[in-house]
Amino acid sequence: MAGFAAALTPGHVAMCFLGVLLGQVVGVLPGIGPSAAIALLLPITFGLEPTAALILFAGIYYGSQYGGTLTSVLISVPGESSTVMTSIDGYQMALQGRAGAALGIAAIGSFIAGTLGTIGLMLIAPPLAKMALAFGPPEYFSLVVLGLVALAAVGSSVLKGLVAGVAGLALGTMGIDPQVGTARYDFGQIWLLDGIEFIVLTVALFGLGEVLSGCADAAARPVAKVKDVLPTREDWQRSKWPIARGSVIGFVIGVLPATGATIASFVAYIVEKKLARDPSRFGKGAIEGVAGPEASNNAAASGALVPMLSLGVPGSGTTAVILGALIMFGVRPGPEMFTTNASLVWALIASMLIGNLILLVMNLPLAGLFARLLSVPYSWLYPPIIALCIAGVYSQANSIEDCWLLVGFGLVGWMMRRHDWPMAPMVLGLVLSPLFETAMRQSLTLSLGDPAIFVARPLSAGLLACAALALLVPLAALAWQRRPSSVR
Amino acid sequence: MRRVSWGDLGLSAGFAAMGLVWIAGAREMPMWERETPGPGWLPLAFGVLLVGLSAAAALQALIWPAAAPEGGGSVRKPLLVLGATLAAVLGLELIGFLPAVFLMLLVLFVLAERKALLPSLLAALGVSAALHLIFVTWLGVPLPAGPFGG
Repeated sequence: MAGFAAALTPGHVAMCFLGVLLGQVVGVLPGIGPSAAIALLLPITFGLEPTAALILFAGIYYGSQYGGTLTSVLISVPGESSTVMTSIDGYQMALQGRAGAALGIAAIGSFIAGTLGTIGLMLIAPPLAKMALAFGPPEYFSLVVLGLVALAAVGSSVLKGLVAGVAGLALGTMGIDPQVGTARYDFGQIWLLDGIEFIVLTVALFGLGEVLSGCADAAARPVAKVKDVLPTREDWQRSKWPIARGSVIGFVIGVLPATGATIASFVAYIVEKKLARDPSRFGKGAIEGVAGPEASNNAAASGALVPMLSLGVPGSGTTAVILGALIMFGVRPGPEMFTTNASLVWALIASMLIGNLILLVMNLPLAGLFARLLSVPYSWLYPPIIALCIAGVYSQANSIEDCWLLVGFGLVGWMMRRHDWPMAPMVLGLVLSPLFETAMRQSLTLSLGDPAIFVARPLSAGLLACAALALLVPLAALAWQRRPSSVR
Repeated sequence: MRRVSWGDLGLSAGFAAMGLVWIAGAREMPMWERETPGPGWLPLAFGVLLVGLSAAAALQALIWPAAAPEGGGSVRKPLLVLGATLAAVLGLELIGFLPAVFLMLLVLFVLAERKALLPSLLAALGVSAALHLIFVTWLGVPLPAGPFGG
């Protein structure tokens, strides 16, 4: 109840509203995702208290899931990878003049799933965090390994994800060594003694890098008309069980590291198709093909916050950026959050319930209005985004040198995006590098230099085993796909 | 058609080069002090890992080439946008934040996007003013003023 009391203060309700509204808008607008939006807002939120900032960022995160649906249904361009499955039947419904019904059932399904997912988060995260309070340095070391490997495994290539993650960890060693004060990789530049700031790398990769990647295709697209968003009785009959099943599937998959909303929506779609009396309707405008995946990706967004809040392991790129933001605000995510920052966590969870309600109220009558944002050409949007990147990066330390880093890492981000290299592991590596190094050094001091300490302690060994599984499962799946009999 | 991705190879080479720099730098630092790793140990480990993983990524790009042509289309406009950003950062100290960003916006709207001059001017002015309002007036950030002040 204290969480609700904190979340219901006028300032926090305003942040929640602003967050879900911004999330909805960035989900709709081309070329800017929730990670970029949070990265760009980081410098502006310096003066905020952590609870308000976290409520804002979480609102952007789950609000963008709603926004991504609009682009999937109306122009068959998924705003988020987790809405790819929605575009299959959603766009077919739009072509049949039923865009409103598709968006309406997506909003209702998302509300139900988001609420159920948040309740699941309330039930599961605290006991998980309590169990993890027994963590010592070796467990923290293994936790960082699991977090990085899990995030690397989410992308299209585990190998590319691992390279990006290790590059981030290496960048995190720049500057003064935290234990003995040795200067590392400053290349003779005094300003590099502070290392590379999380905000500079995040804005460069997710802000400038995304802009450079998207500016070549900056034209507006024709948009379908939206009307009659309230589902009919038949729509509801067809959708209620897919929404229920999607909520459960999404939450369970979201909680697991190395998975996330994209896989959850894919599984939900497959399950609905398998259970359908007439599977041939799928791909031709079946409303179940919208309801199931939409419920699933929203429940997964809540589920992904379970490992992030209770263990400090992000389940997606956006939660990795939120995790970095939390550290920037002086909050250490992980098992201690539920004891040292309990009011913050419960206010966040309560705000998610409120935010889901705001999104439902906003989406049913205003879906048509948000759809009009789709007609804003990206060519008018990206130049101001670059200006905001420059101002934001400069403002965090009043440093011109950081702006040079912005350009350099922006170029790297563009190349990575262009060639499908995941960027989130790099950001997470930079954020977790100090924790990783400290935990490793403390562990080896405890064991007098014996690395067996990481596998001798059951919790640490269990976390490393999970990391190995997160690495091996996608590799095994790839080997299975590439076995000789599967080649046509 | 499957073909070798030069982008993947280039990125692998870049990350491998970074790994080599980390290895070379780590060798000048203490590696092990009593039972504890010194400041050079972990950077060395990261450097070795980076070289190894990048080599594997390059090998992957050669053995299993990209299934589809690389995405992203033309590089002309992104390079123009990057050039304009670079010029704006260069101009921050020379002419100040507001003129540098205003000119960058104008160049992007008019030259990169072929927009009409008047709406471009208005948009560039509006965005520059909004950024000044947010960062200087509201957040109190001393953005570079340049010789023109403000």
